[in-house]
Parts: sequence; C-alpha cells; structure tokens
Amino acid sequence: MSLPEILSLLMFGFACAGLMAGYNVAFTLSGVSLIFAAIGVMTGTFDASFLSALPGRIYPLITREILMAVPLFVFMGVMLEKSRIAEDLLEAMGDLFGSLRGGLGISVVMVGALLAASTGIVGATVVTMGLLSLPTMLKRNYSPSLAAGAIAASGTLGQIIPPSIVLVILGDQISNAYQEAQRSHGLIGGGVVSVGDLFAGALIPGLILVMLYALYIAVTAFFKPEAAPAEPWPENVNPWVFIKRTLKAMLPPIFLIFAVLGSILSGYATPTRGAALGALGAVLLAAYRIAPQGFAKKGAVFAATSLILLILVDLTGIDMRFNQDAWQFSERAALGFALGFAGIAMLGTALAIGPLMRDETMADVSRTTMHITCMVFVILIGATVFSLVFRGFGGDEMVEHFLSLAPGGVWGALALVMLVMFVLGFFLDFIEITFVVVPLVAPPLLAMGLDPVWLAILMALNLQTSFLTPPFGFALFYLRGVAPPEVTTQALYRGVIPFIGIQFFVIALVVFFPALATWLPEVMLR
Amino acid sequence: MTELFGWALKGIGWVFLLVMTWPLLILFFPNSDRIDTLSRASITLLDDSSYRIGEIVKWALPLLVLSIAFSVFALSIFGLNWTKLSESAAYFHASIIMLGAAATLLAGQHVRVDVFHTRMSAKSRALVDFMGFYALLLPVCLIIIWDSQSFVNFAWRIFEGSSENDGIQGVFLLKTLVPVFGVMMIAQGLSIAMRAAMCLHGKERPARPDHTPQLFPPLENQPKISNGNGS
Repeated sequence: MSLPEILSLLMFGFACAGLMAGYNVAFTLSGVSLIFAAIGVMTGTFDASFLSALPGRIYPLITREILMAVPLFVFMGVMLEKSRIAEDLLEAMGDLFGSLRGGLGISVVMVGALLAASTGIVGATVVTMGLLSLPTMLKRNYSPSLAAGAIAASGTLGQIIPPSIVLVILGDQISNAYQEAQRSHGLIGGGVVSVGDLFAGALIPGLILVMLYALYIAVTAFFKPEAAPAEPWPENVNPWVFIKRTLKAMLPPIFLIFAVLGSILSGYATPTRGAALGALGAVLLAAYRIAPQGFAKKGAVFAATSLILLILVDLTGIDMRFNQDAWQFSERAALGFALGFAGIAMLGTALAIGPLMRDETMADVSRTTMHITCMVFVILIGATVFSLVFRGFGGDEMVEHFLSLAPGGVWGALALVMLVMFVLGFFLDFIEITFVVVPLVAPPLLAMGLDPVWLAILMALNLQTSFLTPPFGFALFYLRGVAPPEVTTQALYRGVIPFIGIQFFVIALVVFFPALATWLPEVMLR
Repeated sequence: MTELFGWALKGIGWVFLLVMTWPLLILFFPNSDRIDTLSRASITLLDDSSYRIGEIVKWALPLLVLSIAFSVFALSIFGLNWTKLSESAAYFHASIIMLGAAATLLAGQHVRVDVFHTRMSAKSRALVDFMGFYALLLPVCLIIIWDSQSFVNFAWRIFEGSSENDGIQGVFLLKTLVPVFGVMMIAQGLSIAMRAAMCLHGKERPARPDHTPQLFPPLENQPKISNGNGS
C-alpha cells in the first residue's frame, strides 16, 4: 500500500473515532479530513489546490432545485407535528382498534408509516413516536419489549416510505453516480435516474415492511394475548362515534400524503413542487386544526377545496394558457372557473395563515425547520470537504480497485458494500453515509451493470436495518432516551430482534425479486 | 476602487484572525476582570447577532413554500412564467442554509454522536467544544473563506447575474453567501469557545437568547437519559 492510500484509510478511521467525542458531526468529518490534508501536503502526497474546488461544490448544494425539496418536506412534517395531527390520529385509532388484541400496536405501525413519511430524520421520528405512544401502550399492559420494538421499527419507516428527505438526498447522489458511471466507467445506455424513480421504487418494499410489521404484531397478539392485550370499549358506547372520530383524524393527513405522492409519482409535479404543495396543504390543515375563529377555519377549508378543484380542472387537460390565440368557449369557461378557484385559494390561504402567525405556530415551525434544514445541509457541506480530501488522496481509485478484487464479482462487491454501510450505520447517520460512501462505491457498482433504483433501495433498506440493530442502532439510542425506566434496555433489544428479522427478509426479497423495486418506476414514470 | 475594497476586507480579516486567540486568553488569565468583562460583552453581542439573523431568515421558509406553490399553479395551469419568481426560490433556500447555520449552531441543533457525549460532565463537554473550535470548526471555515476568494471575486467583477434575461441579476450575491457562511460560523464558534473556556474555570456564563438551551449544563439538569439496565 502506498502512503496516500494509508493516509486516506487512517483518515476514515480517525473521523469515525473522532465522532465519538461528540463534536458536531459536520465539522468533525471536515476538520479531521483537513488535518490529514495538511499531513498530506507536508509529506507531498496531497495537492492543496484540490481544495480550491470547494466553493464550486458548496454552491450547487444551496441552489440545486431538487435539494429544495428537503426544507419543504421538513416544513410539512414539522407543521403536521406541531399541529398535533399525529397525536389525534394515534389517539383515535388506538380507541377504535384498541378493543382488538394487538390493535393498538398495529395502529402505532400505521401512524408511523403515515406520518413518519414526512420527516425522515431517525431521531425526530423515534422520539416523537416514543413520547406519544409508549406510555399509552404500557398503560394498556403491552409487553414492554413488543411496544418498544414496534415503536423503534415504525420510527425508522420514515426513511424508506416516500416522501422522505433521505430518499431525496440518496436520489440526488445516485443520479450523479449513474452519470459518472456512464461518463468515466464506460457504461453504455445514457439513462437517467431521478428522485421520483426512487420514491416509486421505495413504495412497494416500504408497504411490504409495514404489512409484515403489522402481521407480526397480530400473530404475537394471537399466540401470546398477554403481550398485546385488548381493552374493550366502555359499555353501551356507539362504535360509530369512534369510527367517525378516526375517519375525521385520519382522512386529511392521508389525503395530503396521497396527494403529494400521487402528484410526484404521476409526473404531475417534480418532487420539489410536490413538496411545496404538501407544505401548503399542511399549513391549511394546521390552520383548520388550530384556528379558534370561525372565518379562519372556513378560509382553510375553502382554500383547500378550491386548490383541489383547481388541480381537477387542470387534469381535464383543457388548455387555459394565457398566451394562446385560439380560445374556445369551453376553454374560456374553464379559465373563468380556474381563476375563481385560484382567487378563493389565495384569499383562503391568507385568512388561514393569520391565526398561525398570531399564536406563533408559524414562527415556531419555521425556526424548527430552519434548524433541521441547516443541520442537514451543513452535514452535506462537511461531507463534501471529506470526500474531496479522500479523492485528493486517490481514495476513490483505491475503493474501486478494492471492489474489483472482491470475490464473486459484482455480487461479492455488492455484499461488501452493504456490509460496510451496515457497520457505518452504527456511527454515522443516513445523510453522511449517503454523501460520503455513495459517490465512492456507486459508480463502479453501477458500471458492473446493477440497476440504480434497485441499488438505492437496497442501500436504504440496509441502512434502516442498521439503525435498528443493537447495540449501536441510532433508533434504539433515541428511544432509550425517552423511554420510562420500566422498559429495560434488554427488553428494548429483545423487542427489535423480530423486526430486524423482518428487515432482513425484505432485503432478501428485494435482492431476489428486483422487480419489487424496479417495476413501479418503470410503469409510472416512463 | 473595488480592488481597494477587496484589500481592505482582507486586511480586516487578518486582523480579526488575532481575535481568535481570545478564548485562550480566558483560559490562561481567568482572574483578569478586564478580559472577563470584555468576553461577556462580546459573547452577548455575537449570540444576539446570530440569533437575530436567524429569526429574520426563518421567514424565508414560508416564503419559499408560497413562492414555489404559487409558481407551480401559475405555470402549469395558466402558462404564466415569471422568471424572477421561480428564481427567487433559490435565493430563499440559499439564505436559509447559509445565514441560518450560525443560529442553528447557537441553538445546539447541529447533530452530534451522543453515545458518550450525554454521559460526560459539563467540563468535559466544554472541553470538547473548546478543542473542536480550534481543531475542526475554525480550520474548515477558514479554508472555505480562503478558497472562495477567486470564486467570489470573479462573480463580483462581472456582477454575475441570472442566465435568463428577465431573471434576478444577483448571482454574485448568492455566491457571496459562501464566505459569509464561513464568517458567521467562526463568529458563533468563537462565542461558544469563550463560553467553554469560562465553563472550564467554573464561571457563570451570560444568559442565552430565547429558544436556545443553556450550553454545558450540569448533568442533572439534562433530560434524563438512562443507560445500562434501565435502573
């Protein structure tokens, strides 16, 4: 091994060790790599002018259209969270299904799948779910290990179920890697892969995960009723009251998520635009939920209705563009309606935003969103510095060489990459791994002929599993932090093991049936 | 003229590099009243400016939502395309990240690996932040500022604007955000390093702005995180 290769490997090791000290992840990654760059300059193995590319790498991060989807999705998620829509939903579903064995547990998985979908940051989702549902489950005599396992697992669902911000970042990286594979590794094809492809590809594996989680809880409740006991409804109660309450809590967020996903997957909107519409929808929902005054509530309803009607008018395919010559009567009529709806939507939105501004909800949501967004992007900047230095040492060629030596050809290389990412998942979050590892390993792997969407979904599933795996899994740490002391750490570890088994089963499923990940993108977006 | 301005800016930068030693002064001369008073004033000043800028910049988020949502409907339904409106999204997005990062650092929201960190004493955590500032944050931000010289210089020289005729002619400002990010992060990092140095001597630190939790609190004031056997 040559000196630069040794230095680049040492750099990786020191960065991982340095992270344990607990300084900011972004600056630990970039700072450690700069220290090694300095050593490299002194030993003549690193060219300092390599770093002058840095601003040119940072600038696209803050201006590229696709990455704007990140703050928008975070905004949508935080807005839904602060307006307590998740709490309502969980409470209503728990009351309705709590009378069945395992019903509450399945409700938790469903709510996790629905609402975690929008935040996608492991810590935030697990903490929210843990605070919301763990006390309720324990109060109803669920076994602590089943409750904790279900919450940790459903908290990580937010990474794989679209629209999730980590899929946005992974999609961006995979798309770059795919082009790199075509440019410099001689991959023929000229295909492109988009964030929308990844959303579509992740949908089926994600739904399979949700179903298997729910199935596991149902089976456990059937064979071990004491682990997930039912709590019968109070006597003489009309079940319709519960059903109505659940529907009322459930329909708006479900509709919102479906609208956002549908608009992106059908190609009606880019992920960024879909995210903006989702964020607007979340604002209207929050206004409806929070606003005390009648007219703000009505404004939100009117705005939401007219936005939906506006999209419906647009979907009829009537040409309403202003700059056309041949106006037909139907087009004029449609234009009139559309303009009316647009006017009502703007007025209603303005009315709905009023109370959100007055009670500081908007300020709080914006501040939290700003913190999460900056956290994500500063990590991206730090990881950019790190990979720039790693490449300066020729680390990318070393990785490629190493992968080509893996026994078993492309499968061996894939297995190796998956193993490394799994282990890295103990130390680093999804975003860092995506930004540091994917640009290094994905181009050679893709050049060997792997499908980019399939590869990305496997990586996402793999990392999600890593976050669940004791003793280092991120999700477990966060849940441990908010769990009451009667949930022992052993119970927590015991509880997630079946879910890890489900994860591995789904990974194997996607490996052997690639169509699970690649079929939907082909049908929906081609 | 602009050349002169550039040299002046660079000179100010070199002078301010000396200020970076201030936390070391706090560390080595804990008993000097003058250093103590001056540090308190500058910590408050730096924290307040990061916080205020963050509080202004956060409003770019609702604007980002509204501007993109509005232009989606205008474009896809009515075929209206205002380049300035669609380009404004990039300006909102970039300002949120580059100008809000210091406020995020102040609020302690940049993610850490807290396997050991949550179990450390207040002084150990202060030491991590003190060392981290000098060994990691400061060099990284200095490199970002240093290497963006030619990048920003070129943009200003031609007052680089949009590639569209009717776009926002402010790309040079957008590019300037990169070194501004570096400067703001150093300023906020400096304030945290000063607090850390005070904490290492067990001194009281100045109060923090709203919505920002106390730095280096004693362990029992933290949200309780139990490890091991759940006892």
